[in-house]
Amino acid sequence: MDKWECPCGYIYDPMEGDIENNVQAETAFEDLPDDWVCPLCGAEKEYFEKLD
Amino acid sequence: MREWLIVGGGIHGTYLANLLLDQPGLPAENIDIIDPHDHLLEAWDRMTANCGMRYLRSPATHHIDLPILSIYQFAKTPAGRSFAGFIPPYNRPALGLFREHSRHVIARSHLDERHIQGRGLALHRDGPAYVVETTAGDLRTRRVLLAIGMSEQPCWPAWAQDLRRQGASVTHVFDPDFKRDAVAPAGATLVVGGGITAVQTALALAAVPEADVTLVARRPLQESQFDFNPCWIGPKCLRRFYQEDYAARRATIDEVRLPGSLPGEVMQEFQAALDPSHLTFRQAAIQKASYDRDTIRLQTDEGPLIARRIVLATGFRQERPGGRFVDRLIQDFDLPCNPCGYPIVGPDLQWGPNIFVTGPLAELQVGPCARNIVGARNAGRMLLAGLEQKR
Repeated sequence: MDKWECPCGYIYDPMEGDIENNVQAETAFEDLPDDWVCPLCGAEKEYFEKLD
Repeated sequence: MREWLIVGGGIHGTYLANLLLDQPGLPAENIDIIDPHDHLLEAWDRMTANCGMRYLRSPATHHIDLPILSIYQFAKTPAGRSFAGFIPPYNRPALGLFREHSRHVIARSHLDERHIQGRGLALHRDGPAYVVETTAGDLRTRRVLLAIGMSEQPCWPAWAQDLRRQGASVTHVFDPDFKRDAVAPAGATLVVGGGITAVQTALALAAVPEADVTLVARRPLQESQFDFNPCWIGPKCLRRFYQEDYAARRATIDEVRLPGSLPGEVMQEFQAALDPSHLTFRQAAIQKASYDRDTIRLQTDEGPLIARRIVLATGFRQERPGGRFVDRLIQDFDLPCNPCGYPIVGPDLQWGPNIFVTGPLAELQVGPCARNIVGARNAGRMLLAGLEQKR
């Protein structure tokens, strides 16, 4: 599963998820809820870029 | 003795009080906020109302509560539903929703009960404690957190100060006694400034049918979604910032902040509202001003301008906030400052023994977003990390 980077530098790591916002570990970026946003700056998913 | 006294009840002071109150083992009575206004966030409420703001420029995840999605959740409740409103990008909340959410958080966390109405005057050491001399009496505390914003230092250009001394109708949108609704519509009004506040103020004043409003700015209006690149919120840009010395950090902050800019939807609204008989735009640098018999005459590099009144939306003076209170602190406790006058603080935002800062006073450590709502959230993370390290 790929990691994705927000414009603010936050990296979504699917192995860790986003526990504070009810996203379980091992959740792929593509499977995040539609209303999920960067927990650091608030950017929506469409602003994230896939890390190589 | 209280553990924390927070000086300033704006966004930063209120958020950090909320954050500290949430820490285990810290009873509510151990934290107080000293602020001269009638209620917390009063200056913020006043300034955002006066400029006619309808949506925040920051995303809905930037607010005074702790869970990051708190505004979204509040917008779904009966109390928040009628205020719900977000606009893209980054889901920026309606001002009414943000305010109502803030009130909700303040009431739920009993933050208003921690508010002492008064103003800090001086700080003295008394053994392991500080005694903060205030207009509400002496307050003993182990730690002091300076959460002082820029709201008390609106920027008045020299020519505008001269006009005011002569009795001309010149006001600043950030003056404590400014009331936008009290600005008479009759006669020409000039709004001076080129940022979001100036444009929103001009739009609001021009909404009255008989209004004759001209926005005067030195530069063409500049469109930018935010007043800084979001990369400055997180490690992407801050990693580099922390490798710089303080002089370079000051230069970086001045370079990357875009105070005289406005988001796309406000630009579009302004352009759509332009109308030669109601609302016009003049790009001009004001050089001189004179006043005679209710008429203000401005001399600019683009020719003369004549008006009945002027509303300044020229932002804040960039000098270190806190006035005499902070000046005395620096002197009495030999606190380090950069040549720009701003505090040099550690990664835990500690300026002197148990003296902490947030907001503009912390910007050489928090970075270009320090003054914004997200700056309070970042400052909170740094503060807690520092306290955790000491345990």
